[in-house]
Amino acid sequence: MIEIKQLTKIFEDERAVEDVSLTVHKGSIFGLLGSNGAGKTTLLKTMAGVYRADKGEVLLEGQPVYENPQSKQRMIFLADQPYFFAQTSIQQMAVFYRAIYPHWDEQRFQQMAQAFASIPLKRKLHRLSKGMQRQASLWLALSCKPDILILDEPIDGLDPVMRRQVKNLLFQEVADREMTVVISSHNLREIEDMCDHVGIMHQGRLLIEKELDDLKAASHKIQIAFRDPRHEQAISGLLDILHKEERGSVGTYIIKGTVERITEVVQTYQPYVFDVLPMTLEEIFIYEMGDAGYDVQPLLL
Amino acid sequence: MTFNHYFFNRGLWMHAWRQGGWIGVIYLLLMIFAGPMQLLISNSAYEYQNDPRVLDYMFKEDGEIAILFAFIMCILMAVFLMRYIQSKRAAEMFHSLPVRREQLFTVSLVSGLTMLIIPIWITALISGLMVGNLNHVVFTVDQVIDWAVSLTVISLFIFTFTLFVGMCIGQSILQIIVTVILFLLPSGLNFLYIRYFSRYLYGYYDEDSSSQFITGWSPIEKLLDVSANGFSQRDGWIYFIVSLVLIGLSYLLYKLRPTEKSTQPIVFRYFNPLFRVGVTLCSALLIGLYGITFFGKWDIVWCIIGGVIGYLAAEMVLRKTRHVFDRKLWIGMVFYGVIVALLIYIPMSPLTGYETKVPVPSEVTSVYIGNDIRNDLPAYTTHGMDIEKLNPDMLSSDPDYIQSIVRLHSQVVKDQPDPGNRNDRNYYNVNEQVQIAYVLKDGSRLFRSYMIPKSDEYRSYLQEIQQSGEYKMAFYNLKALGKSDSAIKIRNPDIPKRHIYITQPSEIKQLNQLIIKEKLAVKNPKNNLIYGNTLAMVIQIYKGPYYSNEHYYSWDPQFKPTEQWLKEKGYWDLLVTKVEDISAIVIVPDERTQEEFAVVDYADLFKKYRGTPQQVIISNKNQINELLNRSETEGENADQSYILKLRFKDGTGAYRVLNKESITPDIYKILPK
Amino acid sequence: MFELDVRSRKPIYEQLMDKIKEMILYGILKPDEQLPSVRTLSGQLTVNPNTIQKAYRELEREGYIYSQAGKGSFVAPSQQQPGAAQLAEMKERLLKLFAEAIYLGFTKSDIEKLYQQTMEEQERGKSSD
Repeated sequence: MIEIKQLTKIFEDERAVEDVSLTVHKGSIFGLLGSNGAGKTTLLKTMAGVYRADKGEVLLEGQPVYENPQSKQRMIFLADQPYFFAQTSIQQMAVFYRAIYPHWDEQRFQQMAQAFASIPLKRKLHRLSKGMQRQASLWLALSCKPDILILDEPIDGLDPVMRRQVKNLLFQEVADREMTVVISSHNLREIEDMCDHVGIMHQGRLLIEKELDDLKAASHKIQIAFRDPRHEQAISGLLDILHKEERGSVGTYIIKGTVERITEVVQTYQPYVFDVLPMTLEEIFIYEMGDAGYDVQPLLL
Repeated sequence: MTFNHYFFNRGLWMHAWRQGGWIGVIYLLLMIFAGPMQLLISNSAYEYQNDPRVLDYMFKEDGEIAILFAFIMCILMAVFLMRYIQSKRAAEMFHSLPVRREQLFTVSLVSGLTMLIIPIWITALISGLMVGNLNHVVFTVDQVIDWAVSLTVISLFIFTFTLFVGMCIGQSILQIIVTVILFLLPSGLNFLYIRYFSRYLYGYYDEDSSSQFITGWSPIEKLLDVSANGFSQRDGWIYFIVSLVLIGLSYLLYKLRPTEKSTQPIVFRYFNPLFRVGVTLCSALLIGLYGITFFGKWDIVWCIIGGVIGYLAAEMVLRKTRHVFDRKLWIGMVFYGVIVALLIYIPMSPLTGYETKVPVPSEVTSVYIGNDIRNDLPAYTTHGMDIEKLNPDMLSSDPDYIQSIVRLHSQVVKDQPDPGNRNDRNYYNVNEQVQIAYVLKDGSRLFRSYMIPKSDEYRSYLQEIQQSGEYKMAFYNLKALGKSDSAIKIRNPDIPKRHIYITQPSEIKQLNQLIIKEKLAVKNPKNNLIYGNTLAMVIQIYKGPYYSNEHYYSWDPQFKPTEQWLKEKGYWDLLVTKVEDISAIVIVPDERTQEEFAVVDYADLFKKYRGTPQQVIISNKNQINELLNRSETEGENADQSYILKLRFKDGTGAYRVLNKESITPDIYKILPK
Repeated sequence: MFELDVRSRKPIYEQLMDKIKEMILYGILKPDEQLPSVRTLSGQLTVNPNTIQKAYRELEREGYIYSQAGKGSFVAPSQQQPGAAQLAEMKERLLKLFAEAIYLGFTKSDIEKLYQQTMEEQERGKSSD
């Protein structure tokens, strides 16, 4: 379990992360969303003990992370641009990581060679494409058997086949060892099928942090054409309507609550039209956040 | 985690060796070149010399080469091993690893030192094996060990210094630049300030002990002097202790250093003002000096231009952009401008009291006055001149003498007379360079240098001093002469090969006393021309195993006791030029103008008048005798004098001057018209 | 085994629950049969294992499956003894549906036919494997 308590990180005069509190439970996959410059990377680097927090703290199982090898050997941070030593192959890098991380699993490293067959063991890493370098860094990271894997925008730049494979690799580790994954992206679509928890950052602050399934079940998009305009008044008293849009006699509503509850209430008025429409996660966010007073649309795409 | 895992992490060590190993290999090759190779070169150079080369220390053999290599490679080693902290991606990767900063730094420090020290000791081993195997260079194992220990300490110092700078700087290139600048800074600033002091401080003498002290702190300058002075144990300890302090500070700063500061020019904000002041000051002084040197005027304008350029540069480096022009810039420029202006002005201002300071006579233990402190005053030790020590033979403690010097000094300081433009042709004719050195009761020294106009206001002061015995003692170095037991070479200036050596101690003593007597009898040493047929006395007053210092005394033919003595001892006839030596004398007039003086020499004159009526050739023995007696081997060429060329029977020749005052009616008759 | 729509408005764990319930009801999964492990299913479906875990947890809570520590999850023996609450809920839903059907003009025989149809399908499903 990673606990972030009232974390603030200041660069020069700019507050890159401000008063963020967050708990990531063991074995969960946490997606951190936000536009460029929202503070995601800074938050991740502070979590990984790369940066020192100006205020607040980062704890791994109750132990501080910064300058604490005991905590840090259980976590691996993968930057958006992987770093390898000059003129090294993955095999040489593996020698380095093996010496650094006590939980390094040589067998696992060898096994994964199949999954990463496109990366020759002896080829110089800096000659590989960006996407392949990312895969290489993930390969090395997973071989270290970390309890916590922190990934800064890792999926961008991978082809769909590889993307699926990477996801599977992560899922295996999560299923097998309850590895915790923290993953950032500036695009919700990139990670919505991976995470169980998501948080959105904006201007250094964590605006919202939710379990994805709760979020999906929490609000619904419904089209209704009432027999009597007064019925609308009646249901708005009974249901929590986040958003309303009318096109002719048909209204589109975003309503909080379970489908069952909404159906029950609406059906009592026997409307002409009653449809539950599919709603993307983005839309859910947009309305959830709009409810909290944020215009979130530009933050997610 | 075990201690072993903590400090001996194989991965980190391997990485460090990959980063710096090649530097270590190059260092080894360079050291072999600087050490054993130089010995071999020296060995073959001395092959055809009578005596082998005996080294008193290894650096003697172009030791600067080794030092220079040490500077380059140690700086490079530190910079490469610290790349992981300066490059953003590397810094983030390394600081995400489960290792503490102490461990990362320890690995860099220890592996870097190992890679630097091993080459030195391999080289030392090679040199050690050469001891006794070279036929023409003599050195010992102890000297080799001393060389290796010295280089080890020097490498340690340069390496740790660069690491320390790297902790404060976030860019590798800037780390190199700042390291080199800091190494040069003490002597660089000293050099610049001295230029300004000599221009603005009345009476400034530019090489007093305090500036020597500062130069001593400039490691590059000090170390690049190593073949002349060696590397003292005291310096070794200082460098070693400073290195330890730097290592401690580096560990501390690393703890404080934020990871995100990689690629930032200055890591710790509180160094920013220091950086701005430093760059602005150096730039103002340097560009100011250029302007002043080239244009000779508008000093303040040049300094301001330099300051502005420096401040802009500093600001651009700090902000990492060329777009720095905003309100904040101008405010900062004024603020730092004032600070830098004060830093430049205050040392040259009356606040220091430098210009008006004249010691009270009772505080003075000894004094020197003359025209060249640098040449006259240093003491001679076994290795030659030692500028740190003063030569007691040149100093006087005579209270009256001190009084009269202080009187002159006070008057000069009070008047601050303007000597005129230095570039003026007559500058050195109308002024007299007077340098004064006091040793005070508290042991401190006070050195001043003045150009005093040769006018009535100061003549009496100067004469009082210059006609005193104390002045003559120093001027002719008579104190040392009185103690000297060196052989005296007496030479005929006309015929170089005609010389004798006085080697008997009693004779040496007698002749020395005669010289002292002669010189003390001189009325005014500053204005004493010797007329007639002089003899040159060459004496090694100061001598050491590695140098010889020859003093020339021209005998004044008017001082008869010496002539008497030489005749008594039978040396006279062995020395002087006689009529029988000469086949003929050629005479031409010297009508050169002031301008021609420097470019037309005697040979040109004789060429010019060859075959003309202005050239006269004398072969009459009586006339030759007369000319020999009246002409001078030494002396100033007055207007309308004549030049004589003595043609010796052995085919050699010599020039003499015949001055107007010396022309007798008999001679006048034979001169060209 | 089955397809999931990861972008659906319906939470994935609910989709999973529905599928598994369906397979139990249609007898595709027999009582005491072991369900695929979280890891296997996650790999097959490329779904976050936590989501699968959650679906299994919910199914267990609803009595469709049971788990044995260290062994995995198994289909519950039968659905013969559904809980009283579950029965009440179903009764409610049926009543509502019947009301709606009657309103739309369904007759008693229509509803009886539908009941018959459902029973036959279930029989067929049981005998088919």
